[in-house]
Amino acid sequence: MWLFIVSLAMVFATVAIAYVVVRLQLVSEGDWRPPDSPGVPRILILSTILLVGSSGTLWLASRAASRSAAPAAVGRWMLLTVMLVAGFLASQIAAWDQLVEANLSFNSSLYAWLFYILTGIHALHVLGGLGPLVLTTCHAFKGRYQGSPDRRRGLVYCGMYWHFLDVAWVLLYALLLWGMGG
Amino acid sequence: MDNYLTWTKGVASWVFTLDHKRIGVMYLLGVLVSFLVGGIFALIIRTELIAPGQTIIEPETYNIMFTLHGAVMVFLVIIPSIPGSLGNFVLPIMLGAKDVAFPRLNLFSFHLWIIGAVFTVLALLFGGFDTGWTFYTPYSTKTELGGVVPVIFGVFILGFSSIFTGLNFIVTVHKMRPKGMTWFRMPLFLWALYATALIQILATPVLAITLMLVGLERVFQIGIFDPAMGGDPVLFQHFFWFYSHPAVYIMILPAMGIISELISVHSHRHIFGYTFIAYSSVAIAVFSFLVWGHHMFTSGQSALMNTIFSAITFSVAVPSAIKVFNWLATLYKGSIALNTAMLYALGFIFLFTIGGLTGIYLGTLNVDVHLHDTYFVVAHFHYVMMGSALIAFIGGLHHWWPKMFGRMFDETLGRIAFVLVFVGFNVTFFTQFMLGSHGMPRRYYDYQPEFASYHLISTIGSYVMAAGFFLTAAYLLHSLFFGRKAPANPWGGRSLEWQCTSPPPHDNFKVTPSVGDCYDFRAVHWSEEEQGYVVIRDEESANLPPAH
Repeated sequence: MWLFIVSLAMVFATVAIAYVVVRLQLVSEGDWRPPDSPGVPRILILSTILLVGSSGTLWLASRAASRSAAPAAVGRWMLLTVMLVAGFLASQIAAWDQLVEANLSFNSSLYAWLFYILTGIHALHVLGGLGPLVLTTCHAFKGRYQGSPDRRRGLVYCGMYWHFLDVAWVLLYALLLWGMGG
Repeated sequence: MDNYLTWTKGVASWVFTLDHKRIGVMYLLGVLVSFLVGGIFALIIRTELIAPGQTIIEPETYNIMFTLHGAVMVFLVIIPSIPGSLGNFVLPIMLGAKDVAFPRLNLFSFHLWIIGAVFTVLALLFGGFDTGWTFYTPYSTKTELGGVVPVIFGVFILGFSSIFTGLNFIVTVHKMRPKGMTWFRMPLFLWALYATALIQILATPVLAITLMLVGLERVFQIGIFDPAMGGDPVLFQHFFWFYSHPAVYIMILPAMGIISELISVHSHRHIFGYTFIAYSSVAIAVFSFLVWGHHMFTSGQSALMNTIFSAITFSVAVPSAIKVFNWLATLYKGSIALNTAMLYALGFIFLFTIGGLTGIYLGTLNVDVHLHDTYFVVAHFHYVMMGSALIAFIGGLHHWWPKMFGRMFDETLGRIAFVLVFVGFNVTFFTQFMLGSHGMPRRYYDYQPEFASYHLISTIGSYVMAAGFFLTAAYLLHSLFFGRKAPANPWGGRSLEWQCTSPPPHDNFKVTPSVGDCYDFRAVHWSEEEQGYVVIRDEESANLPPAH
């Protein structure tokens, strides 16, 4: 699982480096931010809260499981996680919508293009993780994670992936704040 | 007797098998077919270059041909050849395991490989592509040929196949070792595959995402790599080589692993410097990530960067040389059997030394500025990619062929074919060193008359080599139907795969095998009855002092 995470981290690192390189180059050429374009959409603050929250509830779910709480207790935390993640995806779509409204569709400039690429790749990974997350939630309600630590492995792996996406998002968000400011 | 080939019958039992051995055999088939296709492209290129001016094809077709030759050979042949086919087949058996850690993932990665290969072929129907196998921007974003997006998608999928195989091997080596199989009792081939898998997992994602960005850039005509759109083509080169240099070691490390086995088994001699060879595999894997800039000495990097990359490049020579000297020391006082597999191993040492040393030339900054993009580079990487990686694959194929299919091939024809391949190879590519140092640029369709005689010799060499490969195909196919039945241990190997029957039973071992020193050949004796070698364990040989 760690190998998988490291492998994914390489993907995000590549895109982040690409972003930094292109931005520095274009800023030095004075050709980066199109005039009167909005900065980072405000709604991404909400996205951040939602995703960090989902990481938190997932942690609570796995803590509840390790203290051998009732399946319903674990399941409730998981359900909350799924809802928060769905909210995150909705807020991402809203953010893209805002940019399109502001005449910043994805092929108008590199400034916009890179925003869509960065958030898009992340959103795809969130979307891809949603399936297993829902599956894990169902398993939790059925009490699949009761008992020995060995049986909780599915929950643990799910958590690792999710915390990774969370960290990746926070870093990407920081990158965007820096990149789309100035 | 029941074995994995006869375990179940029918096409579906192969296509959806979870047996690592069958998956290995299917990879082998795919790789060999791709090798035939890539080889035909190569012969077309060499025939075109036999004389100056147009010979058989148009310049545009020529561009497509050399691009396809590169892409097919790199992505469909050399990268999957050893890990996918021989690795899949041999790794679990050598380890003493029943299968890899994730058999389903293994099958999935093979299916991905097939899909990727299909997309690469589809690219031809969409008009081909002429970017060179490196997909350099802005060629790849500007060319009018329609095959770029399919092939990029194909390579993207092949990347996933490669990552999953790597993941599987790492977990298998960590989790599936039976009792007694410690890290330092593992055959060196497994160390090599392990180091390779590390690179596959870390480097391949970078290629995948980069190619995806190129594909999007081409479709939407906006992106970060094409200077006309405000992008940076050198950024693409950085990303590309960050994968593709390590990818060179994805190709060569398993080859080195095979050579360690072949040299030791066929000279019946304990491998010299086991730990050095094992660690040097890992060292090469680590270094591989730090040298990508040596492909870009002329791309406008700063002089400081160039110097650093040049220096680190030299350091790769150290672990490589450690291996070569250890192999030579293993041969010393060994009882060398010049079997076909061993001939390929010896050929490898010879060709790899030339390929490696010319790599030092090219890693030297000022020399590279002169030789960059000439035939010298072409000759260098063919010595490493083909002369080393592919020759080791062919050698390994001969070594494990009796194990895989339970039939012996004709040794005499094998040796003749080796001579044809070896001589043909050197005639083809050594000439290209001379072409390159005289200034013949690579990838050119036409050339000055003074290069004509070199090109003619090179083309003749390629025909000789092709004859060798066709002969090999003929006697290997012949052996499948008419070959003598293979004993369990035809070469006198000591690692675990020689302890099960040829071909192995469905679940590899009826009883859990006992693990010993896999390079201790003192207990291995020829048996007339078996027409093969048997391991005789007795108290005396167990109490003898170690060979080194």
